[in-house]
Amino acid sequence: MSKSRGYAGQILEVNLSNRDSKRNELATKFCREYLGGIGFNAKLISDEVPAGIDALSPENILVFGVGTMVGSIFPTASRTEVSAKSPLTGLFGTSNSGMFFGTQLKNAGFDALVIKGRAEKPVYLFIEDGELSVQDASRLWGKDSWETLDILRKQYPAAEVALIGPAGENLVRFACIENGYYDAWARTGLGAVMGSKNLKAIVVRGTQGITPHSVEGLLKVTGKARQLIESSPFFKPFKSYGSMNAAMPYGSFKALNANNFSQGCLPDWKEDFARPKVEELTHGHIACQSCIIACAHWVEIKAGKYQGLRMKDMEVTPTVSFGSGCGMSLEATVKAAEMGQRYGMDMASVAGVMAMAIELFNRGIISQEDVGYDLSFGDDDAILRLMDDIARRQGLGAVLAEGTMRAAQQFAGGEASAMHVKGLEIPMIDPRGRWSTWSLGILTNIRGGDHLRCRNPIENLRFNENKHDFQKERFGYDRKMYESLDMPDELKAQAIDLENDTVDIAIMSRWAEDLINLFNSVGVCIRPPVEHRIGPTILAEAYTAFTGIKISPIELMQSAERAWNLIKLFNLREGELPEDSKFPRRFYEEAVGGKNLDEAKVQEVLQQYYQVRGWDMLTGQPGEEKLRELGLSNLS
Amino acid sequence: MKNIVIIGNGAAANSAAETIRKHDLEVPIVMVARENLPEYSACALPDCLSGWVDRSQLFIKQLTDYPQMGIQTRFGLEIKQIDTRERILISDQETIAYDQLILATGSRAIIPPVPGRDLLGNFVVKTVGDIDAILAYKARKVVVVGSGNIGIEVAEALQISGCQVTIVELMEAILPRIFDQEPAGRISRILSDRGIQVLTGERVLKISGDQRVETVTTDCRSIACDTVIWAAGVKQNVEVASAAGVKLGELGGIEVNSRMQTNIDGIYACGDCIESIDMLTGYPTLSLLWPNAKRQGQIAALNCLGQEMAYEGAVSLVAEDIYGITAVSMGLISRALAREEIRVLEGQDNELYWRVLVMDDRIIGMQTIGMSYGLGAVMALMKNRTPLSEFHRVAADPDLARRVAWYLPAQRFLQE
Amino acid sequence: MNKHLIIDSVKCTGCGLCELACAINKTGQCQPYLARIKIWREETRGIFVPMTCQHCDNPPCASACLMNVITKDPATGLTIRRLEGCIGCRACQLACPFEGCSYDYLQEVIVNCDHCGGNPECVKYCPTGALRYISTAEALDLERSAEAARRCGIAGLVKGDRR
Repeated sequence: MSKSRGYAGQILEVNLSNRDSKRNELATKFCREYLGGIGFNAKLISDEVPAGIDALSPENILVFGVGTMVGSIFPTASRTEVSAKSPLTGLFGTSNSGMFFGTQLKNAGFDALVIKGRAEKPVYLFIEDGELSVQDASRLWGKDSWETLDILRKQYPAAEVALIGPAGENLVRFACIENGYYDAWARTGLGAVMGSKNLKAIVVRGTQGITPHSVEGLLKVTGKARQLIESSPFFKPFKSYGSMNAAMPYGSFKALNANNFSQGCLPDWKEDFARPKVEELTHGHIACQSCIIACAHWVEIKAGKYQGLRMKDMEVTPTVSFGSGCGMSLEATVKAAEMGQRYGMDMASVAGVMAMAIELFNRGIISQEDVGYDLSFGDDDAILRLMDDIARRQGLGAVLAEGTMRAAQQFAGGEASAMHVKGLEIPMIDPRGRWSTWSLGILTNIRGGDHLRCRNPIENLRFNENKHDFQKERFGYDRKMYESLDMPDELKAQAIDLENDTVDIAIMSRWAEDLINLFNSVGVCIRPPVEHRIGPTILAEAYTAFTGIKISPIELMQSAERAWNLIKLFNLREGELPEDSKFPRRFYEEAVGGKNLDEAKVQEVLQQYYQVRGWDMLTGQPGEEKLRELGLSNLS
Repeated sequence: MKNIVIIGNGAAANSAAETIRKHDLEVPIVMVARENLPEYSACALPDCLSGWVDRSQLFIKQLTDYPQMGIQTRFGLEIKQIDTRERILISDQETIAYDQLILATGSRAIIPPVPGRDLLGNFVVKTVGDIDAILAYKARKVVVVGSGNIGIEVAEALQISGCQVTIVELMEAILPRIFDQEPAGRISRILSDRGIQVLTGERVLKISGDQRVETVTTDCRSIACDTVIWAAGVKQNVEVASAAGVKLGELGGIEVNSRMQTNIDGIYACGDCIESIDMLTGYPTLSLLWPNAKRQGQIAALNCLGQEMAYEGAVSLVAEDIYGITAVSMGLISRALAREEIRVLEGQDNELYWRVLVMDDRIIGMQTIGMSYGLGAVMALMKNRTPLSEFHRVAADPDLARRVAWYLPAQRFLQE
Repeated sequence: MNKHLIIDSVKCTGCGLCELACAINKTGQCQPYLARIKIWREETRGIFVPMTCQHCDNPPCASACLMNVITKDPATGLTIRRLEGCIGCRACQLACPFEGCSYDYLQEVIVNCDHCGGNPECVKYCPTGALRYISTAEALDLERSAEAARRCGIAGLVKGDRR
C-alpha cells in the first residue's frame, strides 16, 4: 500500500507500441499545482503531446486523470477526466464522467493512466491492484459496447470498464469512451483516439484502498459538505428529476436547440416532453459513487414500438439533443440513447451532425440519392437509420462521421447549417433565447461549443430578461442566497450587484469556469446543488484533510486557473485563432422567439471576459503577467 | 441426580456438552477423553505445521473452562469397556457410572499394512501430539501418502517450512473424495507450481531404511526421503462401542437414527464415529466434517435432554486454502453420483473457476477454485433443494428478486 | 433484538456511501472492499441491493466455524465474533447466503456487521432512506403497511416507491 495520503501516489504510463509501462511517483509540488483530474491531464498533455500532430496518430496521448477526492467519502466525488488532443476540434479534447471507474483506478493504485503509442493489433488493458497486463482484444473488436461489456464483465465480474464501441473503432471523430453501460466520456471524440490506438477497453479492478490523512477531518468536512448541498434550493428538484429540470424552463424561454437551432422550442415540446410523460418512463434513481443526489433515472419502456427497452437515461443533454434538436419522440430518444451507448458516440455531437444533415436535406443541398432515404426532423426511423450509417461510416454517414465542421465543408453552403463552435457541436441550449453566463461559456469553453464548463452557480431559471446589453443576467434571489455562495467577498461584490439585482457575466464566467475546473480537478460533480454550495473554502478543507497537503482556497482556485490557462495555451499552440470564438452566423442573423445575438455586444462581453482573465483583449492570448502569476511564463 | 457422560473431546463432544449446559444448568456432565488436552480445532492442525497458526491458537478452550461450565473432566483416560446393563464405563484406572451416554469418540488416522511403517519418521496428522512429534523430528524430504484435504494441507505446510515434498496418491487425481478431476487437476497444478511433486495413480509398496525412513518405494519408482506422512484415510473409533453391542452401519460407523440414538437405550452417538444420512441423497455417509459434527452434537444433546429434534442430514462443505487460493467443495462430487443424471454448469472468470452439479433440476454439488461472492447463496439453494427453474423464474423478475435478494449473487453460476 | 437494520432496496441508488462509511469507520481507510455492508449492483437491470449480516437467530456461519468463534450475543441478539480465534478459513463466508461475512485482509480475519454499537454509520450516510435502523415494533409496522399496500394493489402509490 502506498505511503501517500489521499492520492494513490502513482501515475501509470503505458506505451502500446512496445508494451512498455512505467509507474511515476507523484511529487507533492505537482499535486499542489495541478491537483488531479483535468489538472493532471492539462499538464501531462501540454508537456508531452508534440505540437501539430494528427490527433489520430500514435503520437497522441490519452490521459485518464482521476479527481483527487474520488474514493473518499466526500459527496459526489466520483469524477474522472479523460483528455487527449481532440480529433474533432484539433484542440484540447477533454471529457468528464463519474460512476465507479475512478474509484477502482485509484484503489488499484493509480491517480492517472497515461496511454501512448498504438498497439499493432486490437488489445485491452487489465489493471488490477498495481499490476498491468495488455491482452488480446481481437474477439472483442467489432462488437458493440454492450456486447463487449457483457463479455468482459463475465470475465472480470467486479471490475469497471472504459471501452469504445464500433464508432470508436471506425474513428468516427465524435466517438466517445464508454464508462460502463450507460455513461461516457463523450465529448470531443476521445473514443476515436482510443480506437486509433487499437485499444478496445480498459478493465480496472482495485481493492487496495486509500488512506486519508485525517479520518476525523475528512468525515467532518464531508458532513459539512453534505449539509450544504442538501440545503441548496436546487437539491430537491435535482434529487427528484435530475438534469431534466432545465428542459421546461429553457423551452419556455425559447432557448432550446430545436430542429438544428431554427426555432427555440418545438411547438409540441411542452406536451410531448412534459414531466409526467417523462416520469411515466422512469423508475427510480441511480447514483454515481458517493452521490447524495442520484440525478440519473432508470428508464423502462413498457409499451409501443420500443417496448422492452430499459436503461439508464433521461439525462437532459441527449434527451434535448435528440428530442428537440432532431425533433424525435420521447420514446425514440431512449432508443437513440441506446444506440449511442452501443455504438459509442457522443450523443450531443451525433444529434448535432444529424440535425445539420436534415436541414441540408430540407435545403436541397443533400438529396435522397446521397442518403439513400428521405430525411426530416421528427422522422424517428430515418434518424435512427442515419445514426447507424454514421457509426458504420456507410454512405453519407462516412461524411457525417467527420463531425459537423468537416462535413459542412463537403457541401456548398453547408457552413450556414453547421452549428458548432471551434468544431464542437453545440448541444441543448440556444444562447439567443436566453443570454447568460451559461451561454457565454459556450464561446469561451476550452473544449469548444459546449455548455458544461461554465455555469453561473446561482443561475436563476425563473428569469429571462436581458435589459443589460448582454453584460449582465438577472440575479433574482435574496441576500441569503448571495451569502450562501462560497466566493471571495470582494469578487462576489464585483460579480453580483444586489442593488440592481444583476450578475456580471464576464466576471461570473471566469469564476464559474475556474470553479468547474476545480471540480473537474478534485473529481466533484458540477450538478447545480453542488456547484451552488461547494466552493474553494470547503474543498480546501476537504483536500487537506484527505491528502495532508496544506492548501488555501485561493491556491486551490489558482491551480484550477493554471490548468485552464495551460489548456488555452495548448489550444493556441495547436492553431486556435481569435476569430474561432464565434457563434454560428445564424445566432447573430436569424431570430428565434424574436431574439438574436448582437455580434458587437457579444464581442464586447468576450473582451471583458478576456480582460478579467488577464488575457489579451483582442486575441485571447494569456498575458505575461497572468502567466507569471500562475508560474507558466516559460510556456507563452 | 441423573448424569450425562460424553466420551470424546472433539467438535461433536464439546458441542453436545455446551448444548446440554445451555438448556440445563443442573444436570451433571462428565467428559471422558484419551488426550489430556482442552478442546482444539483439528482442522487447523496443518496450519500449525507451517506456523500460520500458533500452537496455542489451536485450542478453543482452556482446561479451566470445563469446570467453569460445570463439566467434570476425566481426560487422559481410555475407556476399555462399556457395561450397558450396569450403565458403567470401565477403564484401567476407574469406572464411571452414566445415566445417558453420548459417544463422540471420533476417528483415527490409519497407516495401511505396508512394510516399514514402523520405522522412525512415519507420522500421521490427527492430533496435537502428532504435530508436536513432526515438529520435533525436523523433516527435510517428505513423502505425503494420500491426498485428501489433510494430505494436501500438510504437504503445503511442510513445503512452506522448507521441506522438499512429494505427494503420492493411489487414485487418478488428488483430492479424490472432494473434487472432480477437472478442478483437482487445477489444484494439482497450483501445487506443482510451488515445487510440490504430485504423483497420482501410484501405490506405495514399502518404506525402507535403517531405523529411520530412507526410501519410499511405489509401483513406479523409489523416492529418497526422511519422513512419511500418512494421510491415507481414517477409521471410526467404534471398537469399544461395538463390543458393548452398539450396532454399526454398513460403512463401519455407529448406526444412529435421526435423533442420534443408537440401538441401545440411553446411548447416543455423534461426530466422526457415526454414519449419518446425507442431506442431498438420503443415503448413509461417513461425514468427517467439523460443522456436521457440531450439529450432530447439538442434536444428540437435545434429544438426550428429552427435546425431540431430528437431524437434517449431513452436507459436505470443505474449504481448502491452497497457497492463498481458496478451493471449495460443497455437496457431492460426480464420482458419488450416476454420471448420466447430472448436468454440469462450468465456468471461469478472473477470480474463480466453478463447477456446479445439477441433478433433477436441483443443485447437488459445487466446486470452486478462487474466492468470490455468491458461493454462500449457492450453498443455501443446494441445502434448500430449490429447483433451478424456480430460482431462474424468481431471479429473472426484478420485483421478486428484490424480495429474495440473496438469490442475485448466485445467478452467474447457474446460467445454462 | 431491539433494533434492526432494515434494507429497502427499491430506494437504493447504488451510491456506495454505506460501504465507504463502514470501511472508514472500521478500518480508517477509504476502502469499499473492506466494508461489512456491500451493495449488490446489477446496473443492467437497475437493481441495487445493500447486503450485510442479517444476524440470524440460528446463524449458519456459527455452525460452519471451525474455531467456534462465532456466537450470538445474548444481550443484543447480534452475531458476534471472537476475532483472536479466527484463522480466516472462510468457512463462515461459504455458509452465509447473504454475503454477510467479509474478509478483512488487514487483520486476516473474517468480520461482520456489528451495528456499530447501536449507531450504524451506514445508516447515517445513506442519502435515500434505503437503510434504516429501527425498533422491532417499527419494523413490523413497516412490513404490515407494505403488505397492506401490496394487497390493495397500491404499491405504486407508496411515496418513494414508484416501481
